[in-house]
Amino acid sequence: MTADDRDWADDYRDCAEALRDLQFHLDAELSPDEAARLVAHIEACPPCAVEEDDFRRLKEAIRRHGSAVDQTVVARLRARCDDLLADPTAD
Amino acid sequence: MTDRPETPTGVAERSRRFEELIVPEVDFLARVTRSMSRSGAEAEDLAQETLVKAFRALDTFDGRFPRAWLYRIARNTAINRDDRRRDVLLDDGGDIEGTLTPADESDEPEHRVLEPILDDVLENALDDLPPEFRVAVQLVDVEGMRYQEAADFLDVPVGTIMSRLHRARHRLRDALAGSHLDRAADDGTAKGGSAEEAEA
Repeated sequence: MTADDRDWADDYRDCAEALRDLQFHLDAELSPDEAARLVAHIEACPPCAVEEDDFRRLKEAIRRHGSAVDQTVVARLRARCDDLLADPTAD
Repeated sequence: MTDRPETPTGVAERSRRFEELIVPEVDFLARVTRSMSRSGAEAEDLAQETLVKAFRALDTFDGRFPRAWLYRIARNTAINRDDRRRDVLLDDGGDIEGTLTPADESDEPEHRVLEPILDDVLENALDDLPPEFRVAVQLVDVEGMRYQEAADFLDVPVGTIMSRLHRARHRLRDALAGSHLDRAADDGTAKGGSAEEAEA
């Protein structure tokens, strides 16, 4: 038992260890057991819960930002492909 | 590539392979070249040049991993571009600082679908990442690759991908502190300071 009398038997040594696993968890790279262990810690640890929320929102913001392709650019690139196919012996 | 004139069959085969293997990856190419460039215009130029090079070099491609092949062409083209830019700046004899202008935002699309403020802040933070960090973020967070997939794509150890990705995220999070991602500022919740420092 730890000094605060909570049962951390299945918990991490410290939050640094949990936060390392958090990154893997965000990318679904933990096993189900590892993920359950981390989730249990996060649910009981407000600072780590804040970290989890921050990084999850960051990952989602990156995904949205990086996925937003200008379709007019894509159209011009496709037109370039058409030009290359139309005259493959050019250049 | 061969110096012999291409036969009609060879031309037709190259065109067929280009349509089958490369054209479907145009969206991916647009995304990844944007992550390598300082502006939309630069990214489009890079993508255009990559497509031309890919078309010319298609007979050297075994057809197995089009995205990785295109990525390598784009990356090498970007490196050569940056080398030429540096050489021009050095040969110019002028004021290098004055010529290193920030990315021209005037050609950015008007129709962003994301929250404008966060998008600009995030874009700047991504631009400040070392290129190898940014590509790790692009492959995992945007393209949805698993760590091993990204490692194979870049031909690096999987531990390298993990390290670059996780370090990139910490840098981005720190850069975005003060935006609406910073919950501590909103609700006064204290963060695990010592844990963060240990992680960094």
